[in-house]
Amino acid sequence: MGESTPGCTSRHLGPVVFLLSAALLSFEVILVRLFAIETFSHLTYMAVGLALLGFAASGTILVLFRDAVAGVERRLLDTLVVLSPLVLLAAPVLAQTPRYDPTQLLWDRGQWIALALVYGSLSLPFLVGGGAIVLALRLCGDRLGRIYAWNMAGAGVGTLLSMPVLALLRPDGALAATALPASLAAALVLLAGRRSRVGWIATGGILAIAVLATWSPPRRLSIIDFKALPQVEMYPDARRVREAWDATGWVVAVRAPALRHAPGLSLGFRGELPTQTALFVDGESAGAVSAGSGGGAGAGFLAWLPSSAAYAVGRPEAVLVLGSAGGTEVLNALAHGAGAVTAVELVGPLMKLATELADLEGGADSDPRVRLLRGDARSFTARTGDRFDRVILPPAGVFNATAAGVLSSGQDFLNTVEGYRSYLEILSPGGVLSITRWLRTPPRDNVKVILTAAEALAAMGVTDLGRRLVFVRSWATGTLLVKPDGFTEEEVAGIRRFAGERYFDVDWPPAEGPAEVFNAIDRPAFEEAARAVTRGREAMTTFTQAFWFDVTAPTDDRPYFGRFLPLRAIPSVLRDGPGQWLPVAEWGTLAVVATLIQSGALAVILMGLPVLARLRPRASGRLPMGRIAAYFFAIGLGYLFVEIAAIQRLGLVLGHPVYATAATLGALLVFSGVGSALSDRIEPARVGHVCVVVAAVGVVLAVLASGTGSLMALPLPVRAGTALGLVTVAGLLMGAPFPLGLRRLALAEDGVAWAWAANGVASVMAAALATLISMELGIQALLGCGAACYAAAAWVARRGRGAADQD
Amino acid sequence: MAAGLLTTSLAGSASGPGTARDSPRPAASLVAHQEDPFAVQRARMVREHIQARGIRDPVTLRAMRAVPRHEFVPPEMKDRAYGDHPLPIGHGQTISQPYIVAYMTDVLAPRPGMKVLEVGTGSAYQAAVLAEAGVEVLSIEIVGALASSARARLERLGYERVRVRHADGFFGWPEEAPFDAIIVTAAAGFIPPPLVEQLKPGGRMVIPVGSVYGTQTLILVEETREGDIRTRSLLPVRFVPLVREIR
Repeated sequence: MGESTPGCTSRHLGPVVFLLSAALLSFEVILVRLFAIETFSHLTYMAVGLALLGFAASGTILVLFRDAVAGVERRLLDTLVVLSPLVLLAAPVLAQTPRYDPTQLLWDRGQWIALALVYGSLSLPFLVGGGAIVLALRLCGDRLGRIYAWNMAGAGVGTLLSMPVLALLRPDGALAATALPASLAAALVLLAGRRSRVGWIATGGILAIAVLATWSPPRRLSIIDFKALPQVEMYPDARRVREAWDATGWVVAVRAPALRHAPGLSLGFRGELPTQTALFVDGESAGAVSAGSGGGAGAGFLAWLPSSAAYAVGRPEAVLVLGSAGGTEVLNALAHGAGAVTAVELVGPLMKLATELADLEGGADSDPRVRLLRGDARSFTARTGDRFDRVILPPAGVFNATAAGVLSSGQDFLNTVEGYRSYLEILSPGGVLSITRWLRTPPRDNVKVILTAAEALAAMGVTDLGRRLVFVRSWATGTLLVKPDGFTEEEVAGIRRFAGERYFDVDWPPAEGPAEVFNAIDRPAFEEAARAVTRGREAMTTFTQAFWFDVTAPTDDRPYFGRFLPLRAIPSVLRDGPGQWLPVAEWGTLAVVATLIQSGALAVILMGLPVLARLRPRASGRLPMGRIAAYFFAIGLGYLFVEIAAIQRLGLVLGHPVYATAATLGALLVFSGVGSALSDRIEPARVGHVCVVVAAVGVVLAVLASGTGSLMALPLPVRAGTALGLVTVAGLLMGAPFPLGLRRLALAEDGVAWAWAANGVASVMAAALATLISMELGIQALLGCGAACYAAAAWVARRGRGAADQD
Repeated sequence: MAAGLLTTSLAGSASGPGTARDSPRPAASLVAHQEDPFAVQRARMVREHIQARGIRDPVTLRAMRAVPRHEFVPPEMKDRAYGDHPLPIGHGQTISQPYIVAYMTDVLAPRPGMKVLEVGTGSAYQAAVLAEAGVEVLSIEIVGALASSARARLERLGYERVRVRHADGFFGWPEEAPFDAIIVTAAAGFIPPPLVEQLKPGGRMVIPVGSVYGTQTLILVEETREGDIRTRSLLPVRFVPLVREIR
């Protein structure tokens, strides 16, 4: 085991690492937000994920150039710290320079070079900052746990701080603001020891640049022109009337005479549409605010929307709209005589702008009968004591768009068996749940809705399911009505009348005689699905297995409603050219697979270069490089698996998928930092035992995960306390294996850098792998995989001990 | 063709004049075949990406063979003009995958003498294909710059049967209605009522729904002789066997 070198004497080194880590993590979080706005979320996932390989590359470079670095570590560290704020500002600008068009990646090989330049540019801050951190770890051998603690705590605080920063500043300004903590780190380095005039001037200059850049960002928000917002802004006389943002989304309101919003409007409608103001979240369409309340002249179109089928069974008193967007469905409820409408909207700025515009134009949200609530629909339905005659899930909610921006995943807790059950349980007697979604050909989304609703009813103990469902289809949308008490014949007849007058079809229940078909489809998939539901579990399973796509009902453990292509189908889909499979492409899954393949290839390069150069880490004695790499790779995978599973489950439990995610992740990192600091008191020989304990905790968490849904109904302090308890235990334990492993297996000189590289590579691959495991096997299985990784690390550490001891 | 917008506007016109019809130019196919270095690529495109996927209508195939697609893409993309994929043409718009253009043309079954309304001119490639099939095309584009460039391109290539308007397509082209067919290439979350009204009894309207870079299906709207509306969801035929293989 090594000791601290003279370079570690500076008492500022810990705070320097803390500030740098905070800057880098907030850069990552804010970059994800910025890219989610500027481009498509699946490409964001790929670009930011691979940029993080800069961390691993810093380790590899330090191994490759160890002779050049020897003796000048402290000077190099100081240089990298001073450069960091400048690189944080320059990298996003450089990434904008290549003529990169993501839509052409499949056909234009030149675009892959441009993409590589984007990756390269964005990885620079992680390369420079990561290099400084690994040098600090290397310099402070016997205080390694404490330095790593500063690193983890900084990462946690950076994650937490990015939320208020995103609320205060537009994402381009927020990204530039990440240079501020980095410039403070640079100031600590420049002003350490003898404070020269040059040091003061340089410090002042760097701080001034960071402040100026925050005020006037060098990289301005620039949205790809294939997104809805720039397209609508090209319409004649279009003008942006409002703009608001926070960590949940960047919302813009646009008015243009040519702009109209009436999703799935009946082809029989011949009236006029009201004046509307379109709303966009992260550049994508999120509905529109219509002028005039329910009874206004322009409100006639509402009765011709497919979602109005929910009101064909009678006038409701209380209506709940989940995902209010611009308020079209709120307006619809009012137009159908609702006495009270509650609307829950996750994206705060969207609700803010919709309310402001409604106040201005007399829209639905300004009506005294309307109660607007900001928050997560699942949390609301889990805790409300109110009962509703209708619960409405409108088409094309914005949940996925925003959550994907932050989480880079396609999780959708709104559309799961548990979700539907919670909506059904708050219906008053005779109440109806209405779910409208866009149709696709071949049909899949609405088939999955039918099966998910059936599972929810079955979970409630409801039988004779066929009588509880009605499915209405327009030319563009499908609306499933679910009534736990069962529809009467009169109600079904009323729905048929409603549908017939509007050129809509009722696929379920089927007509008794020959029925006129208004909207023909190749295969009566919706009727088949509903029929399978009525015939029981075996018929449902047979139907699901035989269906073209994966339409298995999503659960909170596998909350991927939008996933229809199983992984095993991807090779057969890709076998032909992209021109063939574009209509069935699922870009989210493809991006995850592409990220895994690319990061795997880069991992081989980053880990292989030192091997090719025959550079065996010094001071690791006879310990094979492969074993060091295996240990740190395993704990890198394990940490990310547990972390991602934890933020997925606790995000749902705490009630806000964005802020709760940030809080969970931030707390986990901070407690990992504490665990890391405490690890200095543990004998390095016990590293294997610690890994075994972490693995055991992972197994316990996997078992507990199935019960977390029941926590949702408890008061916030109880939920927060439970979440904090779990995160504290997991964080404290998971913070120890890295510094302990360094001290036991690979301490000193380039052994640290080698371990850092292996851990960094694993982190990037783990993010993609975790998504795939979660999609295919579920979140509990992901926790189990995390536990298995720590068990594997324990095994490697035990085997490594023998070799190390011989030295 | 515009990427799919849920918030819709089908732009259209206002500035009226500026049609390509009045310009005395040689026939498009005549121009296209003169010194055309892309003729071989175009023939291959039709053979491999269109005919091989089941498009058999000779009128459609002839039109696809005749229109110089490379003239409808930005100059730096000419070498990729005959690939089986969409290409960007600026302003967030694309020129559709050739198979989709052929498929939509096939669905409309164009014949000489027909009058077709197109909403969303874009590069005007679809309009040119329809014109080659012998129909009169009235095309509306909401983005002014695209309308101007499409008009100039059609004039240069001699497509006299196409008229382009810069306007809001929601209202259609009432003074020229009714139409034998309407093609709405600005994918929409709803179909503007005026367009339905401007369709002749027995006429057909085709609407691609979704994004050109992702899931895209086609909706065929037909008005019966009795004035009733019927739709059919169409899946390009080649994709059916592919989908069946997925599981």
